[in-house]
Amino acid sequence: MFNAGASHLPPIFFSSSFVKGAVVTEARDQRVNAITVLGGAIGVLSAALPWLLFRPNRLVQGNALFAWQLSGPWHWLALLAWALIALIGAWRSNLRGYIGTALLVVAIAALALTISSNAALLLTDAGEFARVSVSGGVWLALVAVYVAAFGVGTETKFAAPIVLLALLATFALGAYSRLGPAVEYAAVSDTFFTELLRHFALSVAAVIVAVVIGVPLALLAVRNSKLEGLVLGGAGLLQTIPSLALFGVLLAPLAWVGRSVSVGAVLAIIVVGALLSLAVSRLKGVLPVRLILVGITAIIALPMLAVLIYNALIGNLGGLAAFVQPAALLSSAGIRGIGAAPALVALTIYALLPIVVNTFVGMKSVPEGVIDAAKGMGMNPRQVFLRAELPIAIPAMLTGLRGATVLSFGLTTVAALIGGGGLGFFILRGVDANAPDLILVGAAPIVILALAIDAALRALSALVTPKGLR
Amino acid sequence: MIEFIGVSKSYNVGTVILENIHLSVERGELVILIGPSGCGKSTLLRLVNRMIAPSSGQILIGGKDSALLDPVELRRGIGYVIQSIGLFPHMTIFENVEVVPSILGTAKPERRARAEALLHTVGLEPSVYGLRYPRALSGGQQQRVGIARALAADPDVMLMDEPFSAVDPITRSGLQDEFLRIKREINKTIVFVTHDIDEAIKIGDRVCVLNAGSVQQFDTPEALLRAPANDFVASFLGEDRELKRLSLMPVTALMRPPSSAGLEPRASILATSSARDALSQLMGASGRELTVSDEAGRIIGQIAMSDYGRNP
Repeated sequence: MFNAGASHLPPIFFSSSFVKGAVVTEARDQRVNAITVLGGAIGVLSAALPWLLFRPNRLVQGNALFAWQLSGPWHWLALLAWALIALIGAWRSNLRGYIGTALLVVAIAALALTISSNAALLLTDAGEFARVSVSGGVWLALVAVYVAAFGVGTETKFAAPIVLLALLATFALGAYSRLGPAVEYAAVSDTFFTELLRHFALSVAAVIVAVVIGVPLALLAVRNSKLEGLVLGGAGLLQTIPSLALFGVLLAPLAWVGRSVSVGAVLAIIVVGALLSLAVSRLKGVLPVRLILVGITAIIALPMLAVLIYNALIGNLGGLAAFVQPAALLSSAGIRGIGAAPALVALTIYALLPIVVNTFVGMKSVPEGVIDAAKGMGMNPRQVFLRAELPIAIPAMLTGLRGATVLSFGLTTVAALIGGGGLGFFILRGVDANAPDLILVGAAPIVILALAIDAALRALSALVTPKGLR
Repeated sequence: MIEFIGVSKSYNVGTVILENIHLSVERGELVILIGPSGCGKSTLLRLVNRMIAPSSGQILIGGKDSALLDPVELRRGIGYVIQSIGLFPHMTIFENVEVVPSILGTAKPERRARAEALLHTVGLEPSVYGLRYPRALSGGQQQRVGIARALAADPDVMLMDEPFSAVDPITRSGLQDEFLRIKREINKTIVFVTHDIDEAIKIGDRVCVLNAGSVQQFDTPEALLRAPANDFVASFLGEDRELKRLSLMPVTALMRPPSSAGLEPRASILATSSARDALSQLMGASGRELTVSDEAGRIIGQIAMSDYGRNP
C-alpha cells in the first residue's frame, strides 16, 4: 500500500523539474520535501493529545495521560525523532531518504517502548479489571508514520517496506500485549476462532443462498418486464425490514417447524415440488403456476440449504448427519427459533438486494444490438446467454457479489442477538460489560475480514472481466 | 431464392404492420426495401430469418417453407448485418468474425484462415485489426467487421438492416462503393433495408418501395425513377428524380458522335462518368459543349445541354 502510493508521487511533486529537463536527482534535492516535514510535524503535535488511558476498573471514567506524564525516556526519544524528521524533510541532501527512514524506525520503536513500559508500570498491582488503552496521541502518531513514510518514500523506495516491517516487528515482539484489547483477547482466545469461523460461515452461507435465489430472480426480471417491478421492488422492500423485527417474525414459525416437522417430510416436499415444477414446465402458458410451485419449493428448500452449507463450513458433523436421517426432527438439523437458522434467513434476505440489482443492471447493460446480432446469427438461447450476455454482465454481477459479501460480514454481527454466534458475540459482551476493548476484539476483525474479502473479490473481478471490456 | 406469398403481420391490438405482401427475390439479386419509418421494411426483413413470425402467409427460402425449418439452423445459413452492428465487445475482431463457424464446430486454423481472408475482403488488414477489440475501431471499421462476420459461414442469403446509416456521410459513401465491389465478388442474394433513396438507387438491383405495410412499387431503380407507380412513390423519390435517373445513366447514352466542327478547345469528360456529372460540368463550364473521351484520351463523342432534351 505504501509502495504503490509512493510510486505515484514523484511525477506530481517534481513535475516542474521534468518539464525543465533538469537532472532529476539534483533538482529533487533543491526542494523541501513537504510531506516529510508535515509527517514530522504531526508526530510532534501528538504531544498535544493524551497518549494512554488508564482505567482502574470498568466503572470509572479513566485517566488520560499526556506524554510528559509518562515515565521513562522513550517518549522523549519519540518526540525528538519526530522533530528531526520534520527538519530532515527540509534539509537538502541526497542522504535525507535514508536518514529519514532510520528516524522513522526510531520513532516507531520509541513509541512502542513507551507504550509497553508504561502499560506494564500502570498495571502493576492494579487489579484484574484495570485496563490501559492507547489514546489520541498514539493514533495521531500513527497518522504521522503514514504521512512521513509517504514523504520519505518519494526519496527511497525502501522506506515503505522498512517502516511496515518495523511496525509489524513491534507487534511481534509483544509491545502491545499489555494493552486493553490484547488483554481482552487473551481472555477470550479459546472461543475467538470458533466465533470467527461461525461469523465467516454465516456470512458465506447466506451469500451463497442469496446468489442461488437472486441471480435467477434477476434473470427472470430481465426477461419478463411484468416481473421487473415485483422482483426489484420486493428485494428493496425486504432490505428495509429491521433485523430485530425479522428475528421476531421468524422466531415462532421456525421454532414450530423445528419441533414438529421431520427432515424426511421436508425432503419429500422438496422432491415432489421440484418434479411438479419440471412436469408443468413442459406445458405452455403456465408461467404463473410454475413460478408459484418453484417459489414454494424454494422457500422450503433454501433455509435447509443455508443451514446445510453453514454446518459444512463450521464442520458440524452432527448437524450434517441429521440431514440423512428422515425421521429426525428439523431442530436436530439446526432449524430452530433461535440460533443460526433465523440469522441465516435474515442475512440471506439482506444479501439479496445487491445481488438482484447488480445482476439486473449487468444484464440490462448488454446492448440490444449485441443480443439481436447473436440471435440473428443463429445462436440458440443458451449460446446467446453464455457467449454474449454473461461475459458482458459478469463484472456487474461480481460487483453485486462483492457488495453482498461485505454487507453480510458487517450484518452478521446481529446474529449474536439470537444466539447465532459470530464476532458480534464479543461486541455484545463488551457493550454489556462496559468494556470498549472487548468491543474492539469483535469489531476490528470484522473490518479487516471485510476489507480482505473485498480485495479478494476485486482481484477475482479483474481476472474474469473480459479484456475487451476493461 | 426468397419468396413472400401473401404475408401479413399484425399485433394483437389490431395494428397492421404488413398486409398481404407478395414479393420474390431472385438468386444473386440485391433487393432494397425502402420506405418511411414504420412502413414495415425492417419487419419484412426480419421475417426472412424468422426473428419475427408472420401472422399469415408463407415465406419460401430456396423453395422451402421457412416455417418448417428450425429457426436456429435457418439463421446460421443467413448472414445478418444490423444498423447497431452488435459486435461482441468482449471478443477480438477475429473471434467476432469466427462466431458462427465456431458454433458450427469448424476447426480453429480453418476458421482463422477464413476470417483473415474475409477481413481482407472488407478492406481491413488482419494483422493490424484481428487481435483488437471492437471499441478500438471506428464505426465504419466496425461495420466492415459486421459484414465480414455475416459472411463467415458463406451463407447464400444476406440480410442487411440499414447497415450504413449510423456512420457519417463520407464513410457511408466509401462503404457503399466497397460494398458494391464486395457484392460482385461474393455473388449473394441480398435483402437490404434503407431509408436513404440515394443509397437505394446507387446499390440496388431492384427497389421495393413500401408504405403503410404494403408494396407500392417493385422495380429497377431506373424504371422506378422513369415511371413512378403513384403519387407516394413519386414524392418519395423526390422532385429531383430526373436528376437521380441521370446519375444512373452513363454519359455515352446521350452523347453525339464527335464532329470536327468545333475548333475552340473544349472541356472534356471521361466516358465512364454519369450523365448527371456531365450536366453538372456543362452548367459550370464556360463552353457550351463537352468532349467525351475514353480512358486512353481519345475523343469518342461530344455532349451539349441540348442533348438532354432528347432524354430517352
